[in-house]
Amino acid sequence: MNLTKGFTIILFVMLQGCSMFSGIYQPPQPWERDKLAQEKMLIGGDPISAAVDSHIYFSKEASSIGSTIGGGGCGCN
Amino acid sequence: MQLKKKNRPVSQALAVATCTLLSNVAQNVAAHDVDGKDLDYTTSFLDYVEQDRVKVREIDQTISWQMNDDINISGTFIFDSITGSTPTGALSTNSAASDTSTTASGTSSGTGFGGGTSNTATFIDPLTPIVDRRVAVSGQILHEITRTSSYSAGALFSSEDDYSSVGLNGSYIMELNNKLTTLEFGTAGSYDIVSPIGGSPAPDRLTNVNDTFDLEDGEKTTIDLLISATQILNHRTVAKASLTTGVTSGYLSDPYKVVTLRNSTSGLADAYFHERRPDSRNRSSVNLDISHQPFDEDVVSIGYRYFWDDWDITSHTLDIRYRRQINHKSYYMPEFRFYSQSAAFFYVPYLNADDQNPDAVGTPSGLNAPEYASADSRLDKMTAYTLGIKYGIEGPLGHFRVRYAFYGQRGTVGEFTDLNARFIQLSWTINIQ
Repeated sequence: MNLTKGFTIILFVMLQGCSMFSGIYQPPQPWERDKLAQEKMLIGGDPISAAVDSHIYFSKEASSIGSTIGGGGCGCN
Repeated sequence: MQLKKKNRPVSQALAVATCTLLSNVAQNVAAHDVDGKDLDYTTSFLDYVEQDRVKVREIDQTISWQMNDDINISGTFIFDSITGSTPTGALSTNSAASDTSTTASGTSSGTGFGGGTSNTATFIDPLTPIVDRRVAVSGQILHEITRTSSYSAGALFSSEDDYSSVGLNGSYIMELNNKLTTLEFGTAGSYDIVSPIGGSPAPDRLTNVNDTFDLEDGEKTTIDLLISATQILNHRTVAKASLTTGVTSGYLSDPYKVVTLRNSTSGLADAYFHERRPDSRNRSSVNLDISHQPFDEDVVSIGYRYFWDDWDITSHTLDIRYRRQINHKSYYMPEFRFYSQSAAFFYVPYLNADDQNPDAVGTPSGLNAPEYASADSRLDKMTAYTLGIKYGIEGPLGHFRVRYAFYGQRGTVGEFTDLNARFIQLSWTINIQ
């Protein structure tokens, strides 16, 4: 049930995204990816900051899964 | 631009994961900077302070070694300590006073909880001192099998005064569409043991804190799954969608939390019970992230998460960061995060003595109570926000950054649902030949 709900949401967003982003979808050639190669473009941001955020929010809020998975390693929640 | 990647940023993302076992190894896997250095060392210090509550200090040490073009190995060591006081779940002075004013009788003893008294139960302070330390070590390997496929595997161990955990993770990453699209399939599992200080047990039902029982340590297992797709949209934009789902089973209650049985006439505590939560929890989330360079060197990052579980908790999280490049060496980055969650179905600020039924069976104190109950404010309906700013500078001595942020939480019931905190993080990364 949960997975069905999740896939439905993803499908909806993907369809909406396709229509919204069709104008900006201009796939670069390999030699045009220099900006994408920069560490500051990492999704999720600076890993060490992301790790700290994950620890804080895991211990203070009830949503314990996100774009990273695993949990555990901490008895703070 | 060199197309052969070494995945250093990805390996760092893996290595510094603290409470998460499996990170997104597919982040921007299609292209990375390569600077010819083989060893990265990162150290970080966190000072987290809550107003009138806990203080946490944490040190992270990470080494990432690029063995060759195909293999990266990393290791992380974390030490943190926590001091201060934390809510027990017991009714506080304010909530008791306000509640008694609305009782049918409209009377109050006038002493309230603040006087340290109760009707029949030994008073439990709404806040209790806490001291704990944690040591965690983890290792991760990322191996590029072919030009378009990789795997990642890792292990984690952590130990606290009253908690220990071991975990494994693994994922497979494949790149498609001329490396414009990256898919990741991951799984992680962990086994945790809760060993409350003072021998507090893991009761299997709502149990009066004065009742004696002798149960073993609590155990729980977690299995998580992840699937994600990262797409390069143009030469300035990359987006990612992911679906995560997992189940945790075993002892999921907090051994230090109690629920007050409140006398509806006096407003005082008749008794306190150990909280009890269901012994399993299914969690899932959908995540959407995008990073974009609107100008030459600036980066805007936006992330959204929708979370839901079978405890009736749903949440929305919006995360926005804007990195403004000052010059070719330094930058600053304001950040904003908004979070909103609904309450767990078994969250209660207290139990009402009117629910007491002397003939009830199944509960040692004759309480005709719900099967599950917790007064942990983290399970209450709440909103939270984070406002912060980071400054970073890069040079021959490495990458140094300092970050300062406020974190605020606003609940709906009780005194301890509101939380104000600030944290400072200092980080330094250096490339070692």
